[in-house]
Amino acid sequence: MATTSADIDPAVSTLVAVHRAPRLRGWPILPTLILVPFVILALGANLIAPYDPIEPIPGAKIFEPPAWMPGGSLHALLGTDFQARDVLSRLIFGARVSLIVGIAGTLVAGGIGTALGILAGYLGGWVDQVIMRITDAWLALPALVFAIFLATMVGPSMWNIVIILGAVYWTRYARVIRGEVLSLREREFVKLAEIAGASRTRVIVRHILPNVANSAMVLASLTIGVVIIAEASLSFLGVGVPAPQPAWGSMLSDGRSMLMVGDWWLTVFPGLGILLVVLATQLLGDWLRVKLDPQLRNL
Amino acid sequence: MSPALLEVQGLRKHFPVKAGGLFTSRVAWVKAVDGIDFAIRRGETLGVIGESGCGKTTTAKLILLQERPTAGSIRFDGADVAGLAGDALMRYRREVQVVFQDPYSSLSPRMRVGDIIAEPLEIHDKQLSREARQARVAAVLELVGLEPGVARLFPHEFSGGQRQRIAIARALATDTRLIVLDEPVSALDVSIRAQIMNQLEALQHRLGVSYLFIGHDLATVAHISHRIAVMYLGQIVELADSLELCEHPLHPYTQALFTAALPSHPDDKHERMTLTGEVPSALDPPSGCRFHPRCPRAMPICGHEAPVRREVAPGHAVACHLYE
Amino acid sequence: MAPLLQVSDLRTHFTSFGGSRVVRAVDGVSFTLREGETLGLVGESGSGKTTTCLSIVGLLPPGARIVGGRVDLAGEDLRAKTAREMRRIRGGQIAMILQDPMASLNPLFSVYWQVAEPAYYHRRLRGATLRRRVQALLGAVRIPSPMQRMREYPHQMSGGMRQRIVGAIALAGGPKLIIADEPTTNLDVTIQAQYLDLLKDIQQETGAALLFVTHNLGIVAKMCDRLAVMYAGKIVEQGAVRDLFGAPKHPYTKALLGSMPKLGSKEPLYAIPGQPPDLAALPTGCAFHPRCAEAMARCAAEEPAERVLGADRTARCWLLDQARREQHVAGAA
Repeated sequence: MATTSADIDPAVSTLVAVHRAPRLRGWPILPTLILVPFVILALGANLIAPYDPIEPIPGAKIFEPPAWMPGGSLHALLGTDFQARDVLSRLIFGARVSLIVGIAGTLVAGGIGTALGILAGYLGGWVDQVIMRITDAWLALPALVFAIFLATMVGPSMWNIVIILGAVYWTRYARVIRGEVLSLREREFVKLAEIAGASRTRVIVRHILPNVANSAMVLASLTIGVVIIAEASLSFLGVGVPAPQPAWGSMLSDGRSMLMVGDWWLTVFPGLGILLVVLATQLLGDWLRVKLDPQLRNL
Repeated sequence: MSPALLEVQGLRKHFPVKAGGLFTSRVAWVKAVDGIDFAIRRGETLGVIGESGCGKTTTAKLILLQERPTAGSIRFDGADVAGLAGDALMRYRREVQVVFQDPYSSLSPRMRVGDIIAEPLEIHDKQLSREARQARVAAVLELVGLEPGVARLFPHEFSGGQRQRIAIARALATDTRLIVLDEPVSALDVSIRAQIMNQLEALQHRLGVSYLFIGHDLATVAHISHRIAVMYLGQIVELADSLELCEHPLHPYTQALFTAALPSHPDDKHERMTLTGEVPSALDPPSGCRFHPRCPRAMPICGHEAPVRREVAPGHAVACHLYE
Repeated sequence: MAPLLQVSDLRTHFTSFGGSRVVRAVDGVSFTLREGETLGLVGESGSGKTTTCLSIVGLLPPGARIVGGRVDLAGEDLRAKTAREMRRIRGGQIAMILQDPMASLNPLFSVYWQVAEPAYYHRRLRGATLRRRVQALLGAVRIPSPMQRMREYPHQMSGGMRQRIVGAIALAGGPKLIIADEPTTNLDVTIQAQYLDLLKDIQQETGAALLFVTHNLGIVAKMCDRLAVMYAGKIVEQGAVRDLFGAPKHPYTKALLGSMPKLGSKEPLYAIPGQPPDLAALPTGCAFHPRCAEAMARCAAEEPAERVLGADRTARCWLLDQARREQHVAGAA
């Protein structure tokens, strides 16, 4: 007869059972475990970081390895960089930069993209055409190159980067949200509101916007990772957050040359930071997507 | 006889479609509604039956002003609806509402039931205070047989039948005088349909609201309607009192519909009038009487001349050469 | 004559949320179907009628399992079959016609290939023989100009014609049992009538048994010899169609009959109060009692057992016990 769950390999079925267990599924454990510490670090950087990230540690040598390796010492747990600055402190302050830029940049991108997507989708006609052609043109530009171009034009600073990344990444929102609005527009409750005499503003604000909020949120959580990597890339290339302010990307760039001689702690730790945060946001986005979609939720 | 609340005359809606090949482009017209006349009186239910492509949905859209007619007039309370704008238009929208077929997509999923029902009030009766609005919402909820307390719940917490009640409540929130009901019970469970049908009838007795009831199940439409219009390919072929139509269907298409209807008892067998062919496209309807290619009683004249609708018995009009 | 299909005490459960929620979609369903007979399976959404059919053919969705009972086709236990054997039975001995023809037809393949497929696999027909069979099948479902239609694709046809193609596919394997699950729900009135007449004719020509699932008693009145009414996963009444329409024994059957509008009558409809039950949270005792006009105290406490009232006639209701007791009392007096 048809396969039943008992026919599956026991190990797999355990994993399946764990994955499906209601309590565990109620909250995404891994992303929370990763993100909460990073957020705490970012918020409390001034209090938590042992040293000023810009100043060298008094009395320390440059390129000191992490504490558990030979040559390392407890006053610089993760080692020091080429200016004898504490890697750990720079890492913590860098978390703040990455998360702020990631979240703020996503909000800017999301705000612009959602607004344009709704206008294009609901109003249709030439508004739709104009917005879509702009979107197409924007998309034709390679995101990172465009960001670099803008950054060199306006000059580097953290908030400039936020605006720039927002301006670069809004297009994915506009496309997706427009698509949703197009199908929402035909749904009966929207038609009902129109027949009842609701103004277009009213329809957009009370009927369209709340129903695209889910998609927007899922997109947002998935975009944070992209923006963080973009910021890291910009910093890596030297056009992001300017030195001496710590950012994971610039830490990677600075430490790159020392990788050859074995001073791995300069690049591995910021790299790990980027990896973990982006992984966590992606998992969070995926969880959010399942949670917010009533059809997938009940599996 | 009370004056008509809604009067439709010579209503036509033609949709343009691009036809032709790669290099030529010809505009053809889908004659979805092609000259219909009917009237609905206060407190009356006019049923509309017909199969796919007959134009009943387009008729509903025209009355709801979702589409502008190509020709003809719609008069509501004596005033022509076509030129309405501004305040007059809002007044029309206030008094003419709709209930759709699918209870699962006609309620805004992220709004509370109370807000959904109050929306027409917010649009049209702006002078009402919040308390007055809430009182009205509670009143209509009770009218449709729901507890006033459900106003704070969301649509997904309700079953299909209950959602339809909410949709009906919403349609009654303002001083509605005409509700267009487009297959309101087709998507509901059988045991719930009777509840909603009875509710609609009770509301009509109590409030004097008129209904335009569109459906495909003959028994359902016949039960709730005072009069029935039978549509075929954009035209009304017969219009009569509900019981009269059931007992004496005159137009061959009506007869075919009735004989095709499902029996209510296994011994209820009647001779089926079979129709040949399929419904032709509204792009290029047949000449003369549109039904003639499929009509088992067609005469030579039917191919050339379109029959005019005539009253052949009191309150019973039919458009067929057989009765001239 | 031994029945073609015998379903005994079938139980199918849906588990979700990792096993914490069990829904007894089919809860002890028993019925038989003889060759050439049409049985109507009537119920509303959530009654379990579709799940019963899926259980018979072994096509339950993930999360659903048959947990008890037997399904015998021509004496063979279908539950004991391997997946491979079931594949040969489906499409061959048992065919299904579903509600939405657009969903049943593959938009990428021509009508010919779709109708030919069951004949290809189950009857092993090839080449010219296969083509002739497809032509005959299309003729059997009364599709005009079959040679031309064969080359067309589903999207080029109307709803009624598509449903006929689905019918032709169902017939291609030469089934002994056809399960039709609300096949006419989306069809126009006259098309529906044509289709139902077609099904009846095909059934008479091929001698196949027809299990017709519907919520529409009108269809049952027209098509079926016998009828089984389902509610909340159980059959509450079954028997010959005339018997049930003439003298229904279960209050649900009576209520359904009373809620049907009859053409030409303005008699008020009997509206069954309440809602169809939530299968995950069934009432105690008889599942119908909260909505039953004739409910007694016993109905809330105990589930009534299925009582045999005659040949092929059963019903589940405490009222029957009462009636029988009254008869005894009257007889003894």
